[in-house]
Amino acid sequence: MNYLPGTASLVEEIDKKLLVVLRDGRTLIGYLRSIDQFANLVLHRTIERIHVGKKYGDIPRGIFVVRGENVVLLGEIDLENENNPQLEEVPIDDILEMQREEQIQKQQEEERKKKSMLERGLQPHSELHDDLF
Amino acid sequence: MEDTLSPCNPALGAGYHENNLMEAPEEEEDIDLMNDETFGGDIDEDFDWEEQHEKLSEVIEVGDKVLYGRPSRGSEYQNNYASQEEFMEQSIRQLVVEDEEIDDPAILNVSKNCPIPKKCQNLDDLFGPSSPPALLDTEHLVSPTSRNIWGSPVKEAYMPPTVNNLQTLFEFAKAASGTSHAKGAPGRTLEELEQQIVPGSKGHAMTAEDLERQLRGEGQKPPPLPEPHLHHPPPGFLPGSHGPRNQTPQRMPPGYGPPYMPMMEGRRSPLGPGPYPPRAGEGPPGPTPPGPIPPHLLNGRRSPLDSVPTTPQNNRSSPVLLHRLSPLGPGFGHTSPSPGRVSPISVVLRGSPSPPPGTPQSSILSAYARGALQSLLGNRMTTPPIGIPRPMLRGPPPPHSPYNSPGPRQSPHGGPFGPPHGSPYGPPPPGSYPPPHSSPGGPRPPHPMGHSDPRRGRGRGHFRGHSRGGYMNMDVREGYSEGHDPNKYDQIHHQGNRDHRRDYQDNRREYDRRRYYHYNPDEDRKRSVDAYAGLMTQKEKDWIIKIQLIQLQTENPYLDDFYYTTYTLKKKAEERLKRQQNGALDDKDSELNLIIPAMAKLETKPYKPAQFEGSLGRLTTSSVHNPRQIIDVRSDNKPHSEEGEPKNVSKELRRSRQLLMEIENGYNLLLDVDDIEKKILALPEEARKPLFEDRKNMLTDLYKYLLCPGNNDHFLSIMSIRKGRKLVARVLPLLEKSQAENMVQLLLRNMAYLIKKDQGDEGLMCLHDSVIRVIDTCDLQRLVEFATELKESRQNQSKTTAVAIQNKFGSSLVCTLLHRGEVLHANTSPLDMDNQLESLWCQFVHEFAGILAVVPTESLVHPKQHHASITEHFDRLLNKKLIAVIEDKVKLFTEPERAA
Repeated sequence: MNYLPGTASLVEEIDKKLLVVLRDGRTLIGYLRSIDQFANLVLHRTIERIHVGKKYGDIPRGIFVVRGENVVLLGEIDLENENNPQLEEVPIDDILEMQREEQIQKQQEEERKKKSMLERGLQPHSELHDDLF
Repeated sequence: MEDTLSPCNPALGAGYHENNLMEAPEEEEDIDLMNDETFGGDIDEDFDWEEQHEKLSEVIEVGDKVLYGRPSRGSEYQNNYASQEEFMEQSIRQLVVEDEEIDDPAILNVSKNCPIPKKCQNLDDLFGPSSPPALLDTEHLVSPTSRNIWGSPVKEAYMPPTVNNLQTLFEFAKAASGTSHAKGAPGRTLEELEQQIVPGSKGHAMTAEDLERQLRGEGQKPPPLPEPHLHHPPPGFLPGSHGPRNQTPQRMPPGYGPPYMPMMEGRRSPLGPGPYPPRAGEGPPGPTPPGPIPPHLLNGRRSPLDSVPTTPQNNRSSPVLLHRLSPLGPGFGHTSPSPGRVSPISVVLRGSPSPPPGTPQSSILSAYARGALQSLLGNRMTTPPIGIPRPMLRGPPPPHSPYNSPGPRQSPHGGPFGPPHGSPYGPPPPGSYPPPHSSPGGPRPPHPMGHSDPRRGRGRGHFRGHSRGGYMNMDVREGYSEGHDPNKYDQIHHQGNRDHRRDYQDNRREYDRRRYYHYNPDEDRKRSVDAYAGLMTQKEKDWIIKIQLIQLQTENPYLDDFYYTTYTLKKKAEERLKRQQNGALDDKDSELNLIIPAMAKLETKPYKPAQFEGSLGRLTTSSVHNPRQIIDVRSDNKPHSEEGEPKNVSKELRRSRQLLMEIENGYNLLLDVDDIEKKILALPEEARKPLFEDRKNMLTDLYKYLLCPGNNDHFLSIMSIRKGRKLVARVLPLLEKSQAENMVQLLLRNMAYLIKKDQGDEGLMCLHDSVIRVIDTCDLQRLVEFATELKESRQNQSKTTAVAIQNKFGSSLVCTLLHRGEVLHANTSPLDMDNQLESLWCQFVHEFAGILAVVPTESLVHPKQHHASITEHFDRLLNKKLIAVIEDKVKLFTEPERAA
């Protein structure tokens, strides 16, 4: 099967280890097993990876069926360099805790911004970090 | 070498027969005959081992790669296959083998329980449901597959060295058959052999424990010896079977020993010891080849156990062995056929109960398939080894243990033998050929062995030796592989099973995957782990790609993907330009054309909205054009609109809107025409005709729409709006000549009116170019008609011509008319000219001159273009007196406007 020139196809990525970033900001890593024309994905041996700063934690998730519209970004994992990341792996619980802290911090930051904007007479437009669905 | 082997042979003869019967009951009888047929007596005698060796080495190398390369190195594996077909062949063979393996365990169990003689009867039972009647199976399996692979065995022997899978297979088959033959010859008992080989171990039956120990290298001494027997037997057999053969093998030794020895020693693998001891034991020189021994027997010899059974002492031990080993051995026991299985245990079983080797098998075969078998004999012989269940079955067995050595069995099957042999013994599912690669890593190893053998250069002997040697090697290999990656086998095995079920397509997929892996070094490892790869078949992938491509199909790229299309065109044009500048491109004339392959036209079903006539309470369907009415405004408006003024205003508004909408419609038509033109550009020549038709029809529509024959007002109202004038200006060049001329005529007819409305903003000028172009191409008749329009429209005293020359557009037109007149006059000989037209034209020119004389110079307007030829024309047609009057004014038309 030939593709038209200049086109990319997910077919090339099948059975490769991919990193997929979803619209809600989650990061999945797994083997792409199947796709369709909507870029719906089936990920196998999936882990969800949470990054906080220089640390990360993996949560095993198993099989993931991802609706295509939720895919923000997707790319093949470099298997050769997979095992020497610049990041440090920490246990799941730790990373979850760190993530929560980070979120709280962000919220507070947001609050402060809002407040100061209101003080200056600006209407804070609630920043939608993502399209909430 | 001979000697060592020879001692073994006799032992084998006795014990083997029995063992063989157990293992491969079907084959025994006609083996001798078959061997002779296949190989002929001459082969053995006149055998040139060196020659053979060369051939073999080539073949073997190929074979090895095929067989072994796969598990550990996908890349090599792939490379070995010249084509997919080859690959398929191989895969199919492997499938058969695997099937056999699977079935074997069951069979083994059965065999153990049943005495050999009974076996024949119980074949069906033994084989189980998977295998239909044993006989049928054999026939079935052997005939189709074997023929292909084995066809004409005799010829094979002499085959040229060309490396080819088939050849390899043949060779293997030969070797296998040869080995069997040789084995038969030796009359010695295993005991004797053992004694010779291992002084200390005489006559003592080995226990499973011993075996294990040996395998692990702990108790090497006693166990190793038996093993060597097993392995060596091949070499020994060869010599033993035929005088000449025996001699040849002896010669061979130099190359023979070295390669294996090191490996074996290092690992202590049971095999290792084998080679040495045999040599040492050579003492028993060329055991006379009693009778051809079935290949099974050969197998049996290899395994230490086999040897044991022959001797009475051994028999005692045998039960023990059986029990312990049973799990491992299952494959061997009943199917003994596979040489690889040689495992000691299996041998024992066979040995004791089994009747003389030849009988059982022969009986079985004779009944049904003998005839076929004879031709195929070679195959069969080989088959048994193939059929042998691999290490996979054993799974856990200690790496070095004889069991692990399944390799040997595999070798035969892995090679050409695999399929045919397996059929009789292992009840390989006839339908399940496809699993190509599934073959477990274990089985292949044998091939490597085969290589070594050929090198030894025994000719026929090679083959046999080869097969044997192969076993030995295999064992070693297995030891390696297991040691390194214990899981590997299991994984492979697993895969193999899965593959079995797969169909052809799946095989292909596998193949692709392999390839893929090939690129990534890590893939191999991964692959063994990644059993889920390839869940999407190629078919499914193709399907998705097709869907995606369909989305890119377009009938009108300009419309559907304007920016991309334009962008690519632009890019291409730039490239072209560059190339042209470099002189690489000569044909500067050729234009860039966007070529779209004619695509199957999508079914265009005109959309018919559902009709619900007479339905109660009509369904309200709302659309963009007919939005759902939320408030009914009309009822309120009506009373108001009936009052005086507002009504007038709205009427006016509505009229102008109406007009604008009409003009808009005109533009829509024009855009349609544009689209068609673009489509035409994108199509190859042949496909354009229908579109030309369409275009023509559309232009006619447009023309009719603008001209609105019989309704002058319509045209004027269009022309009264700038947008309308532009529309006309754009349409004019597209129209056919006559249509365009008609339109210009209409324009001229209404010139006075238009100019009156046009005062100030020279809005008519946008028509200039188009109209001028029409006039410049018309003939005299048309010219006269145009002129007449100008004249006639004078009806209401406001002489059109006079008005025209006071307007830039008008004067330009008149100027152009005169110029055209001059051109026509200049190019046509007076004789050819129509007198009537000529006179009419003269009349016009005269009138024009008269008007020009009257109109004040100040009110004259310079035309856009100046034509010096007008002076000549006047000279031609007018008398000098008149010319003198208007001379100054004519200059307005003939000379560029001076900066005032």
